[in-house]
Amino acid sequence: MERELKIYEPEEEIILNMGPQHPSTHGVLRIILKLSGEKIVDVKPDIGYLHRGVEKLGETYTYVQFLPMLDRNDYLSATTNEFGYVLAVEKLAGIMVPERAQYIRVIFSELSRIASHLVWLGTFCLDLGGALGGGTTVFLYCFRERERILDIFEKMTGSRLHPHLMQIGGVRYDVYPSIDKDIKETLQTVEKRINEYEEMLINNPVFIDRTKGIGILPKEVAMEYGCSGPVLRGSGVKFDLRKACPYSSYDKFDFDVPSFDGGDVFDRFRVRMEEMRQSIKIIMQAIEGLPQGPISSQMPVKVKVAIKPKPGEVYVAVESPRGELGYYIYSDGKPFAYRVKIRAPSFSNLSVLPFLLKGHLVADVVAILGSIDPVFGDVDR
Amino acid sequence: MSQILNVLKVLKVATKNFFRETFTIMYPDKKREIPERFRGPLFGLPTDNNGDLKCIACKLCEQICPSEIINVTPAEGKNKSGRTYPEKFTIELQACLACELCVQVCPTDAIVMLKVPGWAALSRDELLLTLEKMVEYGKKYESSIIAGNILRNMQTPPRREKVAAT
Amino acid sequence: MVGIIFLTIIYIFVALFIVLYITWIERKFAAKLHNRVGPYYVGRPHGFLQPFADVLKLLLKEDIIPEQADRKIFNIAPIIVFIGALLTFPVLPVAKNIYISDLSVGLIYFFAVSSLIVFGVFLAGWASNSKYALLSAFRAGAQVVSYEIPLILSALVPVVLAGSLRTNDIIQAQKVPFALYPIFGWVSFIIFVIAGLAEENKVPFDVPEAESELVAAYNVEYSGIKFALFYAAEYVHILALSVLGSILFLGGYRGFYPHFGPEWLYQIFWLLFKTFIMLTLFLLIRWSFVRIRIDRLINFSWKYLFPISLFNLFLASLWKLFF
Repeated sequence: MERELKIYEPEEEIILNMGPQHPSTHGVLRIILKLSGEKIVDVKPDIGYLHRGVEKLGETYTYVQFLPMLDRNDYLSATTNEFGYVLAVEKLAGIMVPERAQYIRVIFSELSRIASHLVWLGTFCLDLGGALGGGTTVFLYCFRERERILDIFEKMTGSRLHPHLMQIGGVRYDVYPSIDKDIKETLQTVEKRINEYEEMLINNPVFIDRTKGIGILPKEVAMEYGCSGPVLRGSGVKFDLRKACPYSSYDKFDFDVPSFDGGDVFDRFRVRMEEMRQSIKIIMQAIEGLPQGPISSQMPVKVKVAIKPKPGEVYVAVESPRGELGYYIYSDGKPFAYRVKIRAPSFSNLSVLPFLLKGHLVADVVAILGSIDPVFGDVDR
Repeated sequence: MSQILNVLKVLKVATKNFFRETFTIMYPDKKREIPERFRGPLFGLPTDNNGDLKCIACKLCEQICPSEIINVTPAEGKNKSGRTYPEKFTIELQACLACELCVQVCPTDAIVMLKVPGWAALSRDELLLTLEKMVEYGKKYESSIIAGNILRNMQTPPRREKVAAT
Repeated sequence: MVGIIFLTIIYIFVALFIVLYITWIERKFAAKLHNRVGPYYVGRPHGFLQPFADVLKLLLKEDIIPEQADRKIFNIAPIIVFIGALLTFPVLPVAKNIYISDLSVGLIYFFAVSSLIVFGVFLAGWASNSKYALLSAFRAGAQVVSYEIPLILSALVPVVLAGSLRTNDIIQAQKVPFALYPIFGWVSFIIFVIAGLAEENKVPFDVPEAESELVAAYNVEYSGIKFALFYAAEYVHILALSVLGSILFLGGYRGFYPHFGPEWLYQIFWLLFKTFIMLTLFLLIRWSFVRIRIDRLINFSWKYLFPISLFNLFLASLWKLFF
């Protein structure tokens, strides 16, 4: 008689409620984990704790008034939010944008991309815990560099996080006189420091141990779930909206789209590190070739009903630090939109979380979640 | 063995940072430099040389404010300089976005943002800026360089080019 | 008798004072590493009164007991942890003739008492009635079980070489200050430092505390004075382990000193100096790594540290037998 192999199956599973008040869920994500020991059996993410009805506000606010609201969506890279929206409205209303304004838009959205990735790097390392090469050390280093980028934002627009830099038809502020010196100095330091942090992290055996081979996202799954941005590129799909369908004046700059085939946390880390360098490259080119001319093609806004596009619909997407940020606007000829739909990159990227988490340990939850880099203002809107 | 060398590399970077100068600004002793275009939460209502308000109670700011927190009541009659003026002018700071649209639309540069980064209030009453308070704050604190006309001049496309284009 | 009570009180006060200033030094060190300033305004220059302000703040905070908690155990757990940490000191001599108790089984006593700490941690995790605290108590238990063995095995090497469990004898057996055991003495020193870090739940091995995963672990529900007890116990334990390390491997209170003045003063100086070296070592390692995952952590202990320390002990015994 064959001996029956009895496989031990744990009967008792505990349910751990991670979040919404949890230090490493990057805001207000609630993950309901079903654990067997420390192993994750089942995952149920729960979102909506930061829902502010931004899309609905877009139907009551006029096109002019809605812009400062969008800064609050993805608060780590506010300018890219405005960028997508102004592009959409301009396409809808058939407004041309002067070249100088296009360049300023590119410079500042790339600056905010670097700032956003720096925050990501810092918080990701904080999630991994420990000190150097993780933990508070890299966190504080990253914030030190981000501070200098935010100083440029503040000098330019007067506000650090919510710049309200763009307006339909151009930008609201012209550059201040010494901006090229400021940007060049800052970016040179930032580039040096990024290299330093990368050296610090990829040489750290424990960091490699925590990230390599964790949370592998195959190419096909990433595409099925509609992932975009660094999450998609970390899985080996070389897709970047700035290259695939260049908007504004991105076709004038020379840059690469980094992508790695591994699909794990470590590769997503490498994609973001490389992206920061490419952003620096773009900004350097843009600030060198900043053309003279007007910064807006429209007369300055005096009333809230200043923009009245023709009836119609439009979808415009930009590459935000998190991926494809799309705006769908349906206009019925009034000064406010009939419907605004925001395709948030964080939301689509986050939807892959249950797939990634199953079978991992509790300690990996924070690493994987950190590597996806959701911003909850963006997810919940 | 190579792992130990790698760890040494990590420690090298750490040591490098150990001897970098301190980044902190010792706040109450030393204050950060506030940029010219500062966009703060506090508003001021500047007056002209006669001591009259620049505000002409045109209600443009009230109209454009996304949060609808500005309330202007025009007074009957005119002031000494021969302009209309507001009787009441309130801003409820609880909901202010600091989007600067009110400053941008003002035709007479009559509302400006003040360079006060650390302003805080202890009660809700203080958050309701009245006309008197804003005039007082405008005199007390330095204001941001951005005012309606300056901002609009910055944005206006040159007329000649427009003619050439059409 | 009166002398011993007096000495005990001095021991406790000095230990707590040093613990307070370890926190201050640690914060300053981390701040420098981060290009920050660290504590500054409480007691200028450089906030040297900050530790007292911290203690005062913790004492004045509201003491919160969760409604669903097991109140008795919840209240008693921090006391067990704190007493367990403090009880390790009697067998640690600070000078040749200054000690509370010269037990003939001093080392066994030390490890037996310091095991009380994890008992308290486990009680705290259980009594808090919080899943995070419970998970962290599991982790603490697993970790201590795996790291206590290498720690004790590495501490046994000096014992074998000295032929005594009495701490004073071990110090006397080290002919030259600064530990000149043969090579396995140094190997066991390294293992002692690593396992000691794990015992203290310090950074690369702080899985039970893991603030980013398990929030703040077994002390997540504690506040005020009880939290302070946990915190203090942790640092007292670090101090005790540093003193033990300097006694076992660095020659304790032995050192060079001139032949005038009271001998015990120099001895205390040497012990403090060596303890300080040990503490710096712990701090440096603490600020150098990412947290290791719990499964790798236990792998590391059982697959590497345990066999190495066992083999090391075997070699030491052979050496002792033949030379």
